[in-house]
Amino acid sequence: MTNSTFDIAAVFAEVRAYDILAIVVILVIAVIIAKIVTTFMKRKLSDRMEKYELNTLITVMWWVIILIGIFIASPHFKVDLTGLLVAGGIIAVIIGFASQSVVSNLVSGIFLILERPVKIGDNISIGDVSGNVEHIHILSTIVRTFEGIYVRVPNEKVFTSNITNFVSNVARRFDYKIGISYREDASVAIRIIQEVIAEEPFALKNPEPSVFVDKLGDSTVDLVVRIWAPSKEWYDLRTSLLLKIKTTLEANGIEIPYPQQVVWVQKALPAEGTRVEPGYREGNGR
Amino acid sequence: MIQFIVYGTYDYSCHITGDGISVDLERFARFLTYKRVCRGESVARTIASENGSIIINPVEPLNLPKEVTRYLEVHFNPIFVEPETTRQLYLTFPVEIGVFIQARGDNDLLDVFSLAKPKYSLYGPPDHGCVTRWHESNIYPEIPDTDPLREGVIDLTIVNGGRTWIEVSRAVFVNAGMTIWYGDYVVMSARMELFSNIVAETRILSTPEKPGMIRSLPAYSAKKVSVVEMVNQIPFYSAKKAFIPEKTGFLMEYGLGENIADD
Repeated sequence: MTNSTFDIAAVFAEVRAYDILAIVVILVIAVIIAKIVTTFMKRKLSDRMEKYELNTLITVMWWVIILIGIFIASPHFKVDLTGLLVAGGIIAVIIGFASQSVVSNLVSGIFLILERPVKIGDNISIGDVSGNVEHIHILSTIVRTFEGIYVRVPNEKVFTSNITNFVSNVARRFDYKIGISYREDASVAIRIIQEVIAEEPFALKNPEPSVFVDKLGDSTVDLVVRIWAPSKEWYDLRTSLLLKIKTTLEANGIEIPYPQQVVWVQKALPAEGTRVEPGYREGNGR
Repeated sequence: MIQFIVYGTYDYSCHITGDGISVDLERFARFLTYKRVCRGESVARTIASENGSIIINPVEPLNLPKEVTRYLEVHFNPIFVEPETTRQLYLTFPVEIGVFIQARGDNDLLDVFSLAKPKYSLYGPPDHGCVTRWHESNIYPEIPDTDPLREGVIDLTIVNGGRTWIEVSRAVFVNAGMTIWYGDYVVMSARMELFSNIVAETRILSTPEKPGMIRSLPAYSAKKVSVVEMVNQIPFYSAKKAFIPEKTGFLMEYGLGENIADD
């Protein structure tokens, strides 16, 4: 047998009892560490990941730790791993280039699962995608848009984009701007709006809703209405309450006018066919 | 036979009416039809059952118009509590009426309605606080006269074990362990332990306010929500959670008065 040929008998002839003990100890430690790490992962991630994905991740993690253990123990086998390391390094570089985006998505997915900026069922906006989170997989996040369209967003994009989570906080505020006529008493309109809000169960008592005159506009006195609602109910409340406010204001004789401009005519318009006298002009203003 | 609405157990052919509420249960072939009208809102259900009964009793006021929270917040005029004292007082809380169907040793919530207007609030900051069912109450030194279909009584014991005066004007209770009793009136017994001006722990006690009262079936456990969630979502912990009782107290950590502390 030549020197270049792998002679297993010769290799193991050099292995002593101390090496065998060291190998056993290292592998036992690796198994214990793998057990601890995978148990921890199971505890921490079981309610955050799909079961089959978690099992895959745990299996991968188990073998990574065991292989690290084998690698650490390899000097005690008296095996020259130089050639293996070179070959492994080349393969690792090739695989690394080929699976760059996959690894990036995987790592982003792990961080997303740990950080939890979004949860399944949350109403979110990521970049130009808005909708409800359907699933958070290890490589991608599935969003069902408000139109019911399935969108798969790679986790790398989720992780590096600005995420707006509309329901992360338990309550949120929304505003209305309501213009009433200059002829109306704004304080009466404010009282009516406050009464309508008070009747709504999900218009929160605290933080207190506020209604105030915000601006004296071109055609209207602009009132601003600010209401806090439970995050999961705000949209339904927002879409139903404005109609109630409008209907109640109108029922109480409060006018919500169209945009308008008052034209003052200084002199009565001449009858048709009559020559316009010098000095006739139109003006406008309030 | 038409009966005036009271809390209790009824058989499958009953017509209960009163105070703007009507509950009818009629046999229809081999089915039952349940019809309820309350404040202009009507609900109809078809039930496949031969023998059983319905139970009408007060339930936690956390279900209407739909369930959004587990917390009841009672707001009252500020009370200054002397250091190292225990004081008993009475508050009111809104009542929702639960209709349960019961047969073969099992019961389930069929319907919930209420004569009390629901209103919700936020206890704590929007990011870490909680949405609460809000109720304004007077403070009573004795058990107040209440309409059992609209309001119940909270028999509240406030304990200030500290060495400073503490002002209290709100109490927040969690629905877990919220035991409601009924008889001449509807009542919950509660305890509020004050730790500082902004922190207290509240707990609904499972003892009746006086002997002879009947314990209400709770809507919370009838929905069996927690069990389903445990089994489907957290299998690793399901066994542990099933055997460890759920915590029934609530730590008020965002203030006891008008000013709510940010975290």
